[in-house]
Amino acid sequence: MYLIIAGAGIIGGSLAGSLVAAGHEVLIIDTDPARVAKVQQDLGNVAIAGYPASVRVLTEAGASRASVLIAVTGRDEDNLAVCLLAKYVMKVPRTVALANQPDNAPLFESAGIDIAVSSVDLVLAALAGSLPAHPLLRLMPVSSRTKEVVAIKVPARAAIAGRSVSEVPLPYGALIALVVTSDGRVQTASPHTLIQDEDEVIAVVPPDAAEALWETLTEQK
Amino acid sequence: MKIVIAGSGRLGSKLAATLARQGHHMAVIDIEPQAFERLPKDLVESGQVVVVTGDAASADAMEEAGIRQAVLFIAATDQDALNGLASLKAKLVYRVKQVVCTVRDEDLHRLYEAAGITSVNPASLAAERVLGSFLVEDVEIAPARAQGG
Repeated sequence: MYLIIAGAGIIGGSLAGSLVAAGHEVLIIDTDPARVAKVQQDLGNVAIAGYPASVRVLTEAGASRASVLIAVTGRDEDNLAVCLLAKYVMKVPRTVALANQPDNAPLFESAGIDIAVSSVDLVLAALAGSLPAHPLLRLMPVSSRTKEVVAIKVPARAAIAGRSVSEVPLPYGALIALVVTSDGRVQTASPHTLIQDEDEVIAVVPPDAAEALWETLTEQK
Repeated sequence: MKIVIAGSGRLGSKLAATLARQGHHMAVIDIEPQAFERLPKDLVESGQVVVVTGDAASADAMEEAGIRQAVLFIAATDQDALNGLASLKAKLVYRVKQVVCTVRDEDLHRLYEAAGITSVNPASLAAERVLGSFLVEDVEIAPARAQGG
């Protein structure tokens, strides 16, 4: 595959390295000639200097034959602009953008970017086990982002403890899929499956219903 | 009723001053506090123009500027990409009734228009104005060099 990466920072550089190692053809675009030189040093002639959100630069980069454009600069506005140009003008089939500000991720997808990755959400998901409090972990979008898979840890002394899945008041469109006990036993959620303190509930919900489900499951006695 | 302008540059500050003098309550966002010096002091002091220092496309700055009560949002920073993101956010997240974006790059201009954002290219407008301000017949055109000379 031929992939273009906008942004030769830490993320872009590492991404390029991994993709090249996996046998793909890659080109990185960055405005900073020093970063471009560094990538050329590390990976060879796979980087060009230029402002990525420009048709001229994207043409020079051969964007019309790219399968994917990944925008991972430190500026959300540039990530948005380059993906839009890539998708709608250069007809790149798939665009992926990093949302440095998490609240821009849904906006990116409304604008037509195929996948928006929020760096903060990724880190939160990776911290899953080690957080003392009980956060709402947004794991991944499904069904063209109309639903998302979330993980909610039920706290100790939870009001919901001892109740079955069928007794959980669910927001419209939400479904509890799995209940994982604190000792790691994974149960497919049937209506009779009981939810206990410290269980982790994996649910599929419409994105704006996630908070409501979190409140229900984390409410304490 | 409020109008929020992103960018207190030459264009943004002029728009803010003009609209404020017409009686509108304005909020202007700029990342550089010095940019607000372009605004007429009396308008800022009286509160007719509220200044917000911050990233024009950030929720914090937009909300501090009162975007939730805004009826018009104008993106007038010097960066097309920033204007685009801020405009999209104003339209899709904050549902501001009217959103206008200034864009200098023709490709981005067409793209934002296609995304439903009213988009104005100040560079094209200026070019048209300049071209309309002189008579072509009065400008002598130098003969083209002969081919293959």
